[in-house]
Formats: sequence, structure tokens, C-alpha cells
Amino acid sequence: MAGLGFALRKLLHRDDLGGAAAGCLRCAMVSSGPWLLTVLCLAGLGALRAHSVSRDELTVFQIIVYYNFSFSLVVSGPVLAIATRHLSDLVFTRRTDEAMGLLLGSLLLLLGSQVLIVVPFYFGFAELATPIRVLACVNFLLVSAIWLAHVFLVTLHNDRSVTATFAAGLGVALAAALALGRFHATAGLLAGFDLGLALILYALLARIVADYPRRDTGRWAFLACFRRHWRLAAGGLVYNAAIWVDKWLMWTAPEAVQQPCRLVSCLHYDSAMFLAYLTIVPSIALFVLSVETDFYEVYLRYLRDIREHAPWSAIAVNTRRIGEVLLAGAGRILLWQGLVSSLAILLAPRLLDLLGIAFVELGIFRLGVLGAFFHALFMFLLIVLSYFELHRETLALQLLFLASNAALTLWSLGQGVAWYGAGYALASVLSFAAAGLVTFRLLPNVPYETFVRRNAALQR
Amino acid sequence: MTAPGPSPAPVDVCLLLEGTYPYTPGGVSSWVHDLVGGLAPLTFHVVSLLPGTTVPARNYTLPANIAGLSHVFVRSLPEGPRRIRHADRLFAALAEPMARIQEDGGLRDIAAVSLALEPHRRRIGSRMLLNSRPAWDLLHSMYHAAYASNSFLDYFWAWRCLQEGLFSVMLAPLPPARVYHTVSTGFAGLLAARARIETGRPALVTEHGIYTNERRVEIAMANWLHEAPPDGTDPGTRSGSLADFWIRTFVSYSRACYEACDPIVTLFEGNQRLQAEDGAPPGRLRVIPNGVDVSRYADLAAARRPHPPTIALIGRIVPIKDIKTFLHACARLRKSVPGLRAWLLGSESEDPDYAAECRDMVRHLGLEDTVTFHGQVRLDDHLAEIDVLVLTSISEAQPLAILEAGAAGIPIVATDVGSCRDLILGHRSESPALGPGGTVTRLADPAATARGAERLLTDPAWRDACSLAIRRRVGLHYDQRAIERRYRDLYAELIARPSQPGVPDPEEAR
Repeated sequence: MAGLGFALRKLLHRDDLGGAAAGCLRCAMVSSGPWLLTVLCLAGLGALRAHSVSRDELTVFQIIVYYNFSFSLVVSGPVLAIATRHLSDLVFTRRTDEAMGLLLGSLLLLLGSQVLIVVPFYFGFAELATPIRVLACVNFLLVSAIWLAHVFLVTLHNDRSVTATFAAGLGVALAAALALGRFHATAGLLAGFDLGLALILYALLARIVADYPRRDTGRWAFLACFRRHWRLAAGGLVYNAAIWVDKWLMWTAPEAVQQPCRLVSCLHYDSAMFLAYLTIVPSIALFVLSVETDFYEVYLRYLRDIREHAPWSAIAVNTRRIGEVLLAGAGRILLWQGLVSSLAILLAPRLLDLLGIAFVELGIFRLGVLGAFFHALFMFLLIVLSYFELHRETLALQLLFLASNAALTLWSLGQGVAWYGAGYALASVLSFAAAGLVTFRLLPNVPYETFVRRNAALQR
Repeated sequence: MTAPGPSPAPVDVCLLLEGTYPYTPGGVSSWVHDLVGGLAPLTFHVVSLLPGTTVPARNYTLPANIAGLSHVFVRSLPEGPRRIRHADRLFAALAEPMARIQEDGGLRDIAAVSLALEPHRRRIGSRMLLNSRPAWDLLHSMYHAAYASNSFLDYFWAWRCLQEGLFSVMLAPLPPARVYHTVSTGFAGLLAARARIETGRPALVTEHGIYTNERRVEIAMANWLHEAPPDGTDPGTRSGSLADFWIRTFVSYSRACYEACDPIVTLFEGNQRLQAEDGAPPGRLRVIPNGVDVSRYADLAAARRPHPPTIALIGRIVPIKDIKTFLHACARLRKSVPGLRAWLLGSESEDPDYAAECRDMVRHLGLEDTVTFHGQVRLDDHLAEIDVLVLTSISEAQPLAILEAGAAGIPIVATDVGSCRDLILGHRSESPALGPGGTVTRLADPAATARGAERLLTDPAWRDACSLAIRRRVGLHYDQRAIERRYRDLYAELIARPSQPGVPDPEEAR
């Protein structure tokens, strides 16, 4: 018979259309969890007043923890992003028996690479007593390991016990720090705090190990993901650097202090900022608990209808519904978060007074609240974009946030104390606006993205 | 794709072949091989249209008068640039003809597509034509115009598959030639249509099986096509099924080919009705049957050896040959013909699952000692020991196996498909009537097949009469030398025609 015949059965039964997205639920938990923990922890530390420990010793402890959270989040970014992605793929392809191998492999890579950074820093650069050096290194590695364990727990279990674990562990950490600090000053504070973190890590790991086969297969398989998803890895680094870059730059402000141990800090800025970050907790909760779930449902339905041979009319309805759900979610978040943020800005003097925080920080706090408001919205849009696998656009937005936060913070430094925090606030507004533009240009094009641009079957 | 040199001298005939010669063995490939070899002073260029991305292994040694061989991969456009100038203009020009092609298009639409692509040839590729935003909008407008109640996913893939083929053919380099000869409609027929429009040189088509008909069978057998649109569709929309989308598109391709080609040749009269239905102008239709080297097979007939009673089916082990009916017939026949041998002579590689099912059936029916799978063999080695040739095919054109066996004086039992009836019983115009050369049966009727073979194996007088009749019929009407002369004359006539670029006038049929 002349003619080519058809190999169409294969063509029509491809399942890779939007396949990865199904493994993505709890995206918001994964990406906002560590940030939330950091915010709570550092805001808590900022408010810590210990009568038994001298002011200087407490400050050194605070600065060490601050440094560790900040740098650990940034340098862990790429490994966390890749481990999350690989784990999602394992869940989606029902190969969770390789989860333990991945956990071991990524933990080894994470801690192995960070020892090379943190040990020279504390033993070579900082001038501290040896026990403090050791405890500081341990603290850094504990924090990094917790980020990773958190990813696994949130991806493998869709429950919220992880939040309770964090809260309890953090309570223990702060209490133990105060208790031990009474006897051994900085080293005691740090040891107590490490104890609390170790408890969190232990609880998280125990939960994972208990539920998954202790089989060490495919330990290094995730390394291949670095090549394939380099944009995700880069995004992990860039986004976390963007969050911190304004704080690092503030170390060059005239108000910044270099401690005898050679670590620099700008405590006014930092404590005001972390207090400001606390104001976005409601919208993170709203997003994680409600908006993301609604969005995920309509998105999944959209994909399922396509796969189940729906005509275009049904796909068009679903596409519209995705837009409606996002708009409704945005409306809810804007309303509640707008209320919380406005109140925080209006009542700032009274609030700071209540917490006994210096008046100098009032302006920074207000700008911080404004920035955090838009920062949260920006983060939610990034999460939405990641569902649609728009990695190129996501990375561009993350780079924009990093660059604008750095540039505008430098600019604000030159304008004097009244402008501190304006860089971050403006960068957040700018990045949110750009992300909004990308998202709302995307929405009507979602089917084109799904069928053509994100269709793995078309990538030769 | 083998790019042609700067200005190569035109060959006499450019043959356009879809998925056959010199790669896939079978009736069409053998026909091409023998025809080209027999017309030696004429020079040929072969364009082979292939699925996939690689050139398969050759099954034929090219005769010396094939001056060139090039390939068009219809499932893989080059990527090309992401952006081009005037993309909006290109897609505006493509929209109307492509929308007509998916319903009832023809040569004018193919000409319009070719013209629209002309400025972009050699650069444009899948990124622009299939994956770009304007391409997506084009797909959309075509879906809504005619197939809006179907699964969008299925339409999407079908659209890509069909348009990738269309664009590959429209963008393929055309070797210069005096005559373009396509051996099917479909994508090869499209290329012939394009050649006719662009070069103005005459094009002709020789159809063995009717392409659109084969596609209809294929699509009817394909259970993956979601015929019933899901609920929730607007009953007011005008919408064909996806099977319609496939078939109407291929009919448009065929119509374009018929409108471009003169003459439109087929192997036997029965095909002409189907060609006319798909839009072939009746004035251009001609019959030129297959031929065989009659003298060679006559020699083979003389070398018959003593052997047990033997029937044989010559053909690939595929569903369209209905091998299972043959096996059922063998089971019946064995009871009345002791010591029966039944041979299957044909490749099993095309559909391994079906071949395995057939082998299972042989075991179930207890035919292990009767039926032998010989695989693809040299027919000459076996003809001397075959008493009856059996064909149980569901579809055939003009089976070469009947001509070869007939030339060797082997009587035939075959299903009433293609031109089998004319070959075995003689065309109604045959004069003097030569008598039957065997038996014609209904489709899928193992009892009738067994009866026909039994009579030929057990009634020597009947056998001899059939043997003589079939040998004389093949010798008179299907002699390769005579067929070659007809093609030689046809080519000479076409080569002498003046060039007439552009779409030919449909009324000009002579």
C-alpha cells in the first residue's frame, strides 16, 4: 500500500500536557514556609529582652542568628528549588520510594557545600570564642537542613502539622536560649537556640523517615535536574538574594555598627523590617489556605478537561474561570491585607511604643509595611506563574526584584534616615507591577501556553 | 533532504513516491523498480516522501538510469526562525485556502498556499508555521469554522500532523524534470500538483490503490478517533467529526493532484469510479495494468517438480491480507486433501503483533505440520512447487502475485477485491473469452476459499483448464514489455508538451 499510514494513536494519547503542574500543589507552603519561619524567628529575637545577659552579648547572638538565616536561605536556594522540583516529579510519577535517596543526596550536597563557606567564615573572619564558633557553624547547618526537610514534609504530606512543629520548636529554642544564656552568655544563648532547631529538624526528619521506605535509591538522580531546570536553580538563588539585598546594603549606612567580633549589623533597620514582615502573615495564611486551593482546583479541571477531549467551548470556560478565581483571590487578599497594613501604618507610633522600639525605626517600619504588602502580592504571582511553568518570565521578574531592590536601596541610603526602607518599598511595588503585567497578559493566552509553548511533547 | 545543486540538468522523469521505493518492499516498489529498469535510456530522479527523520535501509539496488534520489520528511519541518517579516501577511494569505482544504479544497487552494509560502522558502519552519501565535490563531479559526464540537486536543494533534505534512511538501526542493510522475495522491500527489503549477511541466499520476479509500479504511479501523463529541457543545454549530477532518483533507489533496495531472492512470477500471468521486476529470482517466515478465515465468512453469499438494498465499502477514481466513480455510481443506502443504510467503515484520496472533492460531488449529511461515522469499525458488495461489485480502489493487503465478500457469483462488475478478475470470471486453483461471470468492469466507482450492487440487481437468486460461490471459494483457511500451510512449508524449506554469484549466481535459 502506498502511503505513510498514521502513527496517530501515539500522538493523541500523550499525557505530558501540563503534567508537571499536578505535582505542584502546596507551592505556596514550600516557598513561603522558610520565609515565615525566618520572619517569626528574627522578629522574636528582635523583641528579646534578657536581663540576665548583657546587651552586647545578646546582640552578638542576634547577629549570628541573623547572618545564618540570611545566608543559609540564599545559598540553599538552588538546591532547595531543584530538590522541590525533583520531588514533585517523583510524586507525580508515583516513585516516592526514591524520596529517601533524594533526601540523603540533597542533604549531603547542601551541607557539604555549606561547610566550605561557613567554617572559613566563622573560624577565619569572625573573631569569636571557639565554642561560639562551633555553635554558630552548627546553627547554620541546622537552619539549612530544616529548609530541606520542610520541603520534603510539605510536598509528601499535605497536612499542616509542620506549622505546629515549627511553632513548638521555635518556642523551645527561644526559651532554651534564655535559660542557657543566663549561665554562658552568648554561647549559652546559641546552644539553647541550636537545641530548639535540632528538635524541629529531628521532628521533621522522623516524620519523613517513618513514612517512607528507607531505601537509598536514585540518590544522585536529582543532579541532572540542575541542567534541565537551571532557571529554577538560578531563581532560588536570585529570589532569596533579592529578599536580603537591602539588608546587606544597609550595613554600609552610617548607622550600621561593626561589633568587636567584626560582624556588621544595622539593628534599627533589621528589627523594623522584621516587625513589618509580620504584618503579611494574614495574607500568606489566606493564600495558602484558600486562594491557592481554589486556583489549583480550577487549573486541574482545566487540564483534565483538555485531556478528556473537551471541545474548545469547555476549555474557554475553564480559562475564564482561572482568571476569575485569581481576581477573586486578589480581591480578598487586597481587602484583608490592605486593612491590616493600613492599620499597621496608622497605628505605627503606638505599636512601636508598646514594643519599646526606638522612634528612629518608625519611618522604616511604615515603609517596610508598605513594601511587605507588595512583596507578598509579588510572591503570590510568582507562585501562580510557576504553576504555568513560565520559568523564563519568573526568573526575569526575580532578577528585576534583585536589581531594583539593590539599586533603590543604594539610592535611599544617599537620601538619609527618613528614606531608609523606601528602596525596598519601591522595588516591591515595581516588581509587583511587572509581575501583574506578565500574569494578566498570560491569562488569555493560557491555552496557547499549555498546548504549544509548555507542551513537552513538542520539545524536540 | 538532499539539496539540489546550483542548476542541475533536468532529468526526463521525476518520480514522486510516498513511503515506498527503494525502501519498503511490496507491489508498488517492485512496479517502480521494474518500470524504471525497463525504460533504460530515459533518466529518472526519485523523490521519496518519508515519515520519521532518518532514511531507512534500502531494499532495492537503484538502476543506473536513476540520476538522483532525494527525500522529503513529512513529519519533521526544520525549526526555522521564531520571527519573520510580514508574518501577518503570510497567515492572512494562508487562512482562506487552508480553511477550504479541510472541507473541500482543490488545486487553486494548494496554489494559494504555495504562493503564500514562496517568499519564505528555505528559511521558514515549524517555529513559525506550527508553533507561533499566528499559527495558533489560524488553527483556532479553522477549528471554529468546521469542527468546533470536537475534542480540541484531538483536533490540535490532527491539525499539526496534517499541516506539518502539507508545509513539508510545499517547502521541499523540487528537482528539475521534464515530467513529474506521482505514484499515489496524498502528499506525493501534492508535490506533483506543486511541480505542475510551479514548473509548468506536465504531471501524471498512476494510482495502484486509491489513496483516499485506503485512508478511509484506516480511519474507520482507528478506534482512537473520538467520534462522539463530549456533552456541552452548542448544537447550532456546524461541525464535522474528526474523521471528516482527516478524510476531507486527504480528498482535497487528491482533488488537487487530479486537477494537476493529465493523464490520471490506474491499474483497472474499478478504481476509476472512486477517482471520479474524488474529483478526477473523467476525460483524463486511463487504465494501464501491471505487467510481469511473461517469458521468465513461462520458463519457471516448465521446471515443475513432483511435490505434495501445495497452496500458497503470497503477501505480507498483515490484517489487510486477512491471513486468519486463509488459516481457517487450510484447516477445512486439510480434511479433504491429505498431505496438504500451505505456505505463507511474505514478511512478518510490518505488524509483529498480528503475525504472532497468526502463529498462535496455527497452534490452536493444530496446523503445525501443514502451514509454514517462509517469510520474505525469492518467489522463483517456490513457484515450481505451488499448485494453487490463494488470496484472502480485504483490499487489493492489482495483485502482482496473481500476475506472477498466473504467468507460471498456477491457478488462483482469490477474494473479489480490486481487479482480481478481471484477472481470474477475464474483463467483460475480453475476446475471445479465455475462460476462468480459478475461483473468485466473497470476503472472509474460509469455506468458499477451501472449496475453490479443493476443486483445483482434486480435479486435474479443471486444474489444467484454469492453468491454461490464466497463463494465456496474463500473456496477452499483462506482459511487462507491452506495459513498458505504453509508458515509454506516454512519457515521450508528455516530454514533448510545452511548459504551462500556473493552475491548469479544469475544462481542458481531453
